[in-house]
Amino acid sequence: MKIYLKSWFWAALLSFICVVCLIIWFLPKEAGDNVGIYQNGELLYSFTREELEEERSIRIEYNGGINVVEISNGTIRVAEANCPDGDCVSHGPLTRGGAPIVCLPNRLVIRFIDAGTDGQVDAVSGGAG
Amino acid sequence: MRKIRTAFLIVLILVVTLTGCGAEQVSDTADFFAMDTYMRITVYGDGADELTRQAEEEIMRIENVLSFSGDGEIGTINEHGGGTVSEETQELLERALELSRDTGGAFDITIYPVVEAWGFFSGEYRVPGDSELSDLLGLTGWEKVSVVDGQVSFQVPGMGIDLGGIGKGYAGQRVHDMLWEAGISSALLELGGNVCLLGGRPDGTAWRVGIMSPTDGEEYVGILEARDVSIVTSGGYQRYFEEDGVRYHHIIDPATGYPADSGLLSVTIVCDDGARADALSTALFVMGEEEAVSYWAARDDFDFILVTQDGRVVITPGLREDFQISEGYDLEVAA
Amino acid sequence: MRTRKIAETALLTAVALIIYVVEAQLPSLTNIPGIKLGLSNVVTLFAMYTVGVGQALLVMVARVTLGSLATGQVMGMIFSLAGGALSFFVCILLKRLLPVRLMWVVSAFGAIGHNIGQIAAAVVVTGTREVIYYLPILVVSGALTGVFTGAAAQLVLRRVKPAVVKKLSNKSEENGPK
Repeated sequence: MKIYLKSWFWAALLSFICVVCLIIWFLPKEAGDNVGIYQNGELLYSFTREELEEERSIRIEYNGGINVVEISNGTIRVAEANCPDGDCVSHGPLTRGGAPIVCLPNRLVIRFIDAGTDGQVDAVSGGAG
Repeated sequence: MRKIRTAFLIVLILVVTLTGCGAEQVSDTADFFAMDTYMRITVYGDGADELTRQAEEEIMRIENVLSFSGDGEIGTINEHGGGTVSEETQELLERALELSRDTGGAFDITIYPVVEAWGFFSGEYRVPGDSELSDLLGLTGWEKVSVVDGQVSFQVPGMGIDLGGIGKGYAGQRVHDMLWEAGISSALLELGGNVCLLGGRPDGTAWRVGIMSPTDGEEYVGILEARDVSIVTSGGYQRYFEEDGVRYHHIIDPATGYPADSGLLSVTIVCDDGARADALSTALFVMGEEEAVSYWAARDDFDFILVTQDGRVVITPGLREDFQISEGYDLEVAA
Repeated sequence: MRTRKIAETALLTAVALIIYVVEAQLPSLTNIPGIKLGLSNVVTLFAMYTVGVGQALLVMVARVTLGSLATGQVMGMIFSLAGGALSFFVCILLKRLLPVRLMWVVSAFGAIGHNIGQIAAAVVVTGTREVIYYLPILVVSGALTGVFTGAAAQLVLRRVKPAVVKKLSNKSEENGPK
């Protein structure tokens, strides 16, 4: 009797496929999350997860305004800025699902490049003003 | 023969569906700065790239008209203590004054001189003295503004107006209507913390909008599923400064001249009119929980999400089905 | 003979369309795009095993096209057609290999194929690779809904076979449902 004519064979195969897919679905999805630094809506830099592991510091200028972006241990944050409010520095490191880091005076935005597709929310109300 | 024909048909369908439509631009996003905030407009559907550009232009245009500084119409009025305005500005002013009347002055566009004294426009923050504030309060009051046939005049010299509490909501609504008239059925407008939704997501499901936690900018109080509404949040956590260990935020109570201290941390308004949502979020924040609930109960034509200082989240019954609260908050439904 | 075929195709399309439109009115079970029961596929499967693959394809294409117009989701039509094409391809291959009593297997893999095709179309049309994120869950939902619709089609086939069906192959007769 050919095995592929047995019901149990197919039931087992389908169950196996389902289990594998469910495992993939529930695995923490962190790979491929690129972070971008934007000035006036234009992408200046983008980093993959791996690139965020390398320690570095980037100085970004805009009409006399200066932001120093620091990358280390997989996190990105604004370490120093000469803007009047300093919100970008007090925001701390960028987190997934959280608000983007915004420095209004210097027209700077640091956010996940595809933040909209993470299945959590499409938009956030509050806080960006 | 039939098998060949069937196979051919399948290949044809695949080719048509995968290549024919792949060339089309079906969504486009614009990121830009306007009205003192970071904006993001995403349009789905035919002609998305062109419409996104038009939407950005429209917001820039409104910003120029409404700006209280420079050559904007409002700036000119403030500088000269009155003057003529365009039909559009007149309509918006009349709506703003009507909302001031309706909220008993909790939303007031004439609070401008007081907010200026606190330094919230220039960024040079300071705490004005009591006597200075009481003098400045004499220069405020929505009932001292008259708008007749495009002619704006103030009863007291030195008054000024600021449409900042309604401008973003108005701009969002304008862009929403413009896209809708262009046949778009799905778009997401993020104007700073104001969210304006056109239709649902491109796949037809509702948009999911996070309501930011007033105490932690990385977290949400909850997530609201919605379509075709404006969602505007006001909170004292958005713009503030600290002096001598005291925190002063930017939402000034028109009655006292001091930052509103009403027991609320944030107010989110859900309403199909963006300008009204914007104004009401400020007004209800100033009113406080009790007055906000009775204001809503008397009208019942919008929804809100209030976050109180003692960690409660109060929502209107209309949101019960669509609001998913985060852990650590107590949900209450207003009645 | 030709008239009869047209009548058969039209009848089956009408039934499929009604089921499709009614199902579209039901609230979505999840907030994941693309997951649904796909009850109208019972008709497509039934057609495949009775009037033949060619006519079944016609029924499927007509149902997708008219269904998208009827429910106003023209964007969805592209996804459904791509999914339908891949699903059909899988079904034809498996149908030759398996007896009628394993129709639910054909259906399950067909449904998985449908969802994969849909995602492929979504990736191409929207130009965003991130849609692949949904692939695993759509494979699972395809397997579950496919088994369900396949079993349903099998039941329908068993009930109406004596009255309508005269074209089943000998092989299928031998291995028919017990």
